Amino acid sequence: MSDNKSFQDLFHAHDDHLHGEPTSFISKYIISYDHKVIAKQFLFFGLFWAFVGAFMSVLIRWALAFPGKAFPIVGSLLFPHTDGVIPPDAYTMLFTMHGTIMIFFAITPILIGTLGNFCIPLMIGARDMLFPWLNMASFWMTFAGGVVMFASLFVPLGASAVGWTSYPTLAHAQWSPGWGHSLWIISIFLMGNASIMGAINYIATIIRLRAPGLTAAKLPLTIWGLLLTAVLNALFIPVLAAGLLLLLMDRMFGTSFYLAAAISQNGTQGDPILYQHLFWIFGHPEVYIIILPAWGMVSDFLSFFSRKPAFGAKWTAGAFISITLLSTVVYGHHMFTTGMSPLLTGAFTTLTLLISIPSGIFFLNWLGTLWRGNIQFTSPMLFSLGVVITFGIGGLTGLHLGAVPTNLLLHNSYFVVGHFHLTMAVASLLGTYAAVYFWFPKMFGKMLSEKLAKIHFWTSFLPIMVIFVGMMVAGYAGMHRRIYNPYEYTYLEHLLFLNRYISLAAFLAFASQFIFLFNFFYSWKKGEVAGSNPWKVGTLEWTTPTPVPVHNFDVIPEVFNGPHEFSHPKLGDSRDWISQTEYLEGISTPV
Amino acid sequence: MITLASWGMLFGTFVLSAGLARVRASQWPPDGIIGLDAYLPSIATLALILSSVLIHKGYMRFDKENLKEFKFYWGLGLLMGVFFLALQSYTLIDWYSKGVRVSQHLYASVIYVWIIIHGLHILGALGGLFYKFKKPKSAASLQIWGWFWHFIDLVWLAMFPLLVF
Repeated sequence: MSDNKSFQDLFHAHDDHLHGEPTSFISKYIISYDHKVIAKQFLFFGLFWAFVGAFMSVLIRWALAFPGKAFPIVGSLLFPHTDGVIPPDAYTMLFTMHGTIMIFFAITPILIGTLGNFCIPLMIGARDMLFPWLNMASFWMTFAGGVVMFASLFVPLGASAVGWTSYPTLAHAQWSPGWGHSLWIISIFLMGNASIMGAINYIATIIRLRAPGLTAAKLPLTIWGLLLTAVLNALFIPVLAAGLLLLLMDRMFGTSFYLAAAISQNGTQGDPILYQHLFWIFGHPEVYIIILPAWGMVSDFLSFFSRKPAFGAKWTAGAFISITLLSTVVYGHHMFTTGMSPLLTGAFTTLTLLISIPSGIFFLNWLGTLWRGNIQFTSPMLFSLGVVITFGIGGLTGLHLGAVPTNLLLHNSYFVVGHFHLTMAVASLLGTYAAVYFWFPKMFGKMLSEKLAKIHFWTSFLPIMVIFVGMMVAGYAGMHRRIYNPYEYTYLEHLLFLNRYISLAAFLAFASQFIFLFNFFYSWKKGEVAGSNPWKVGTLEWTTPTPVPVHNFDVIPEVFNGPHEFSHPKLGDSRDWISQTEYLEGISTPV
Repeated sequence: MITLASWGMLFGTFVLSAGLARVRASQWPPDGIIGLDAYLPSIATLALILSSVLIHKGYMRFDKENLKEFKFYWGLGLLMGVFFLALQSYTLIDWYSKGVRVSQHLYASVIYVWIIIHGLHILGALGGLFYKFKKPKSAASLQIWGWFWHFIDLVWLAMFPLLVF
């Protein structure tokens, strides 16, 4: 890039980036270019889908706990042909859509869409994203994907029912007829495009619009997490897009990219395993796409609420980077049972187990941050500690799945379900809650009720541990995933009790989310008014007034301190924190 | 740059899959299917390379604020791109009229799908180049469209030997 000046002109970076106050309802709330409004759009979109996805999980757990019994109250409305009993085809549809919705339409929009959009410009001291138009387009493309996915629930023969991985040959038109799965592919394709657009915007913004003085070392770890997520998104969603495009060709135009000679119409050598390769080249980075922002935020929150600098923050960032790199070369551990050559499985096992080293580093740093800290058990802190515990357990059980000998036994069992829910689902969910509780005052100008938040935490966290640790036990006992009624097998009959126990915990966890919803809407209207910096932390977003003006910062701030300067001995007794924009002799480094 | 990396992964996947399909096939092109004639696509490829050179020349002229020569080179490059797209379309339509269908064999599927997806990107890029031909605003925006054009050319150069021969 020789002509940086003309680039800045082109993208009208920094100072001439003040767009005017929007006036009409539509320009303010619907087609908004303001990153804060787009963040809220993503939030409500994600909340809606999270509710749909969570309700599906309740139905799944009902089928496993009370097989053959009618689902109470709404059952006969949902499944009129069977008097409210969940039929087998609906069951497969439910777990497929639960996975798809939770990953692509709940966690991704909230964790990456909402928090990425809200935090990146505010935390790096920018007036908006580098490409506000692209940002708006990204949301509306996500929304279009959501509409297509929602429509697919109502087409004849039902929505996609082939598992969220959408493996051929089951995903082909001969075995999954109807529009359900084709719409699924189109929807994920749209959603993927939106993610790529968002990711490009995030990366470009973080690289080019940081406030003066905000060096890599002073960047909050939240931003590190979001940046690396965006890198993985931009690089690996195209692989999924290409793979899905070929699958769509197979379904709609009769090609046979993924059909072996014996079953394709024209007897040519397609390859179903090729899809698995393409899917997991994307799929493994995807779990890191989802968890990296949560790790980053938790690293920050642990420091904020221990009132201590983040222990080894540079090492944590370094660990995130090396995990990002490693995550791109370990996908084969999802495919050990496809008959890979032992040379390859050995390589993939080694690379997979290597990830435990950087994971160990940042985990140790988390504990180091907590050690002898002045810990405040606020709601973001509680949820962050929840992430530490769930990710700890989930991460350790990952070793069993990364190693070939145990993987071959545990593959496709409930052990896998328990493991990945603890690591990428629950850890990122709790991370998301921590983030929402933390940034809600900045987003909506009100405090969420701490009392309700604590009830919400304990009624979510304890059932969650029961659910997923219970699932791992069931998996050890030999229970397969994706079976409609496991108790038809005599060797699984005795697991009915365990599964009822898990299901009851799941119902409790689901009910507990209504506490959050109530808290969210009640506090939004009637909550205690938050000041501009209720948590007393020093990152840039808390230097803005609440509610945040459209252009965020009247003057682009200069950054002198790291994000975690707490309890510095030179601060004296009056306070224990310093803003990133304050210059104090002996603590700060000049720009 | 990031955008191009992203696109690179997309086409990388396609090229890889085509390579795999080809390596695994016992015969390529297989029996019982009319092979794609290499004559027209080869001319098209030459036109595309030429077009990339012309677009680059045009950009350099614009950078030196020589608007007239910019229009000449950029326009000529644009025409070469259109020529490429026309030849590609004619090749496929001709092939189709000979009775080759996309579902007939993996060989035909790969060629149809790959050329059409690439062609759609060429079409989009031509739109951008045409817009910049009408309203060249800044050197940087010309450079970006130029990059995209070179990128999509390189993609074709990677695909060409794999698909056509």
